[in-house]
Amino acid sequence: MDKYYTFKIKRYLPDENPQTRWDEFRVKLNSIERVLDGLIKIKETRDGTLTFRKSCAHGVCGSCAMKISGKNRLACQTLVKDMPEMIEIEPLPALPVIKDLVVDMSLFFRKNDEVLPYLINNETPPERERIQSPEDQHKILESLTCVMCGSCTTACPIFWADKEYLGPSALLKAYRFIFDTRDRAKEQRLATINSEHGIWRCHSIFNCVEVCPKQIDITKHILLLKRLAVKRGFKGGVE
Amino acid sequence: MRYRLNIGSLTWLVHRITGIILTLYLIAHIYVLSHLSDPVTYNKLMDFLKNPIFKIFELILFAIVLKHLFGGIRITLLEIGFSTKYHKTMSYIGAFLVFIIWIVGAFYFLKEAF
Amino acid sequence: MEIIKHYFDVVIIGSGLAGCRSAIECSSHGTVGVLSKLYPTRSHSTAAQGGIGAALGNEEEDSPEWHTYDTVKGSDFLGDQDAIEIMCYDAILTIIELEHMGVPFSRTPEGRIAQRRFGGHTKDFGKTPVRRACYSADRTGHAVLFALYEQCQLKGVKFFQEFQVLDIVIENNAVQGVIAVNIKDGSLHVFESKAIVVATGGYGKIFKVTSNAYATTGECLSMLLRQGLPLEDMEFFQFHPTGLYGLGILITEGARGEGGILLNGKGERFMERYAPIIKDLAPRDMVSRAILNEIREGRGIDGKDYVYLDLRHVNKKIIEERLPEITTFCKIYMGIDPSEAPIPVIPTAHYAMGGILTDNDGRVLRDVDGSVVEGLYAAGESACVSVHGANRLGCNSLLDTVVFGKRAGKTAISQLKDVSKGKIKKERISFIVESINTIKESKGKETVASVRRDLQTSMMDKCSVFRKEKELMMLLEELQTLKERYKEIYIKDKSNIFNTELLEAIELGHMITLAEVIASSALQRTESRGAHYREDYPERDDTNWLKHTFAFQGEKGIYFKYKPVKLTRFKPEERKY
Repeated sequence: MDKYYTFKIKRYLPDENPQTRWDEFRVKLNSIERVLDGLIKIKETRDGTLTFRKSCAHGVCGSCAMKISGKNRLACQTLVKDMPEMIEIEPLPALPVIKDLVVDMSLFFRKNDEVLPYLINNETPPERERIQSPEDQHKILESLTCVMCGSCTTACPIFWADKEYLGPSALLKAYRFIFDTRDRAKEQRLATINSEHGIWRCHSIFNCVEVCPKQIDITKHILLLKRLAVKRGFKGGVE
Repeated sequence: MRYRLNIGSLTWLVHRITGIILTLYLIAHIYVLSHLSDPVTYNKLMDFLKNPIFKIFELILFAIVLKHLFGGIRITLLEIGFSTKYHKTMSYIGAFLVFIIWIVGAFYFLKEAF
Repeated sequence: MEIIKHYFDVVIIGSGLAGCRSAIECSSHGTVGVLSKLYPTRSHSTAAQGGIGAALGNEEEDSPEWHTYDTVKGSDFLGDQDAIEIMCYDAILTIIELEHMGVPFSRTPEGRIAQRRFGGHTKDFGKTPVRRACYSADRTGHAVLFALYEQCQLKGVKFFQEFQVLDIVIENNAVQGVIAVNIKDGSLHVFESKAIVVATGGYGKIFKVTSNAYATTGECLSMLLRQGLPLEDMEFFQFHPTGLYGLGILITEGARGEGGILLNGKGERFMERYAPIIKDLAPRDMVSRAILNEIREGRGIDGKDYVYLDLRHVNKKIIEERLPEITTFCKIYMGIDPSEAPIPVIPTAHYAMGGILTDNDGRVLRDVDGSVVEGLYAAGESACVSVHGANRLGCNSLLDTVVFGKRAGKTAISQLKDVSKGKIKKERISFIVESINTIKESKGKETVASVRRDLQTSMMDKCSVFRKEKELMMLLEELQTLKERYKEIYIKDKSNIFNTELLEAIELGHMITLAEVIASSALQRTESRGAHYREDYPERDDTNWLKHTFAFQGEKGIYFKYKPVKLTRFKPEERKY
């Protein structure tokens, strides 16, 4: 069934004067179409200068994260039939805007790099695969799903106030490696996240859990990291 | 920055604001207590504070203390391992308990004062 | 226009599985720069779901010889058997190496890498399905891509994200480098190098209904074609049987591997008629044709144009544990829970078996006689070795990208000392700048979107699963019209900063060239083999057609050369399942 929706989009065009403005477009969309389909329709038929990132269009790449009606979401997973008739679309908050709905994600990716996001194991590997029990693999299963879309960190009020804060995504990545039984660099990573802008800046606000498109309970993982850090503090070593 | 509030971020906001108010109150409280040294100034201050508006302030303070107390209990429970699936439920239960205790306490308090 | 010069020993175009794997291999012996038009973890490799195949034998007895046979048979005997042998025998060590790099595979109770059944993979040369696909829930591509990208970061590989390649410069039969634009600010970057590895993936966006991402437009293949290099086997394009109805989103073959079955409007498991032994786990081209046949003969659900994929009888725990992603897709996009309702599916354009002609070590060849282009290599979906022949088996693509990505990287490094440093002439750069300005300032009345939409619809209608001579000839005429219309494109965005409208216009020109190659190749192959099915020539013709098609672009249009398939172990036989 087709319905009309009004897309109110926050524009930022660095070459024009004024640079920022709000545009409204009325589009007709059916019940299985998503906000991304609406944006593409607008770009193709009304205004070719509308710029946004997109790739897989089914929620696995994380390119199209933006603020839709006040909440960070993936545009390709937000069905218009679940939205009100007037949909407000803005870029992700707290990151510098390059153009329209495209933000500069380099600060976000730098935070991921700080937690050493790669398996570090310098022991001689066995001839076959390293053994890891299914239970051990389950410990990191949820944290593996992260697609690094940026919705969580840009939704966190702590990040809004303090751009040095590592943020939910980087801390989740740290969890993925610290709790991977094959990794051998726990001490290093714990030292990085145990710092002034690490896990202790998390106040369990839960904004990240609200927005994660893969429904990862990020705060739960950060709390597990906090408990691990405390145990390490008292016992002087890592579990 | 306009961003949608949800129960998680609202709980945190309330916890942060009540915390700041309590800190300011602590300073005021110490100021009052610093007058214990001299009976004359102390009695003058106590007469000043008998004004009914301060009773209203104290009622509000009571609510603020309760809110911060239960907010703190919720955070502590989460940090020692209580499942994060229940963080919203805990906020709602906390708000409910604050309300009940405040009503009961306010009743006795006002009875005493008037 | 700002022009910035760089030099790297090896420049890799594309940051998917093949690109990252070659980068890891090259980084130890030379400077490496990887260009990608997306942030690396957003590459389409991340969308791969089902698994990566290797005869590890962790769950049941298996052997690389059976894997080779299955791949050869699955390719409808068009795959070069020496290359397939290399891939299948290398597979075991490849997976183990991946696990050592940190890929979080799902595990058996004993802690070994778990494996699942997949379409076309059998034991004992076709007797019953075998567990050969190693997986990580249903996010295998995501798991492997992240691990490879992370290892690249560990090795300090330099990434140029959101850089779109405008030209691959080949002069005097040797690579000179790459000209690319920094999408973020419009500056032109010239990368001179000794070697280039092309790993740009497929070109599914030429079709209307596809599982591929918006970035898969294949412009690098067109750039090489226009410089006189051949493209191999372009008529073979795989249509994955189970894409969500109306959206084309992929529902992995692993769903059928875990027990899912296909039902038509009468509620019958129709694959029993088309592939009596392995039924729903038959190779994808056979299943796609079966589904479309059922729909054509009026046996779609309620007579409509889709069939059902039924997972209701599969253990709920297994769906939760091994198929969480597709459960999410069904719930979000269709409001269906696969454990309670059947999923409406139709075939969707999925994988390009054809591509840039390479030898078994990743070197790009310029002709059927085996002559190479100095310093040019290719791997992954964009290359054609060929291991997939006329049809690719599931979970072989991830394997292909990693095995040949490594080989291409190794070869590139080993030949560095013999190759001279590239030099890109000013004229070439000015030519590129001019062609961009022509598009920017064109005053026509067509839009990128309408030309592209017509291209995609024509290709889907006339060149997908079922093909006919008359329709293909009509298609070629339509493509000529589209070429004319393309010259009349007007774009509104004149900015230098993140100008996606301009980039899409550039991509469209290349897409039309590739469409022409695919349509011409499909027209000239007068037989049916694997994914290429001609209704006017429905039989396989080994006498005349057991050979690869090489498409060249000449002055007068596309012309073809041929080379026979390399047969080593298995003689062609009838492809029955």
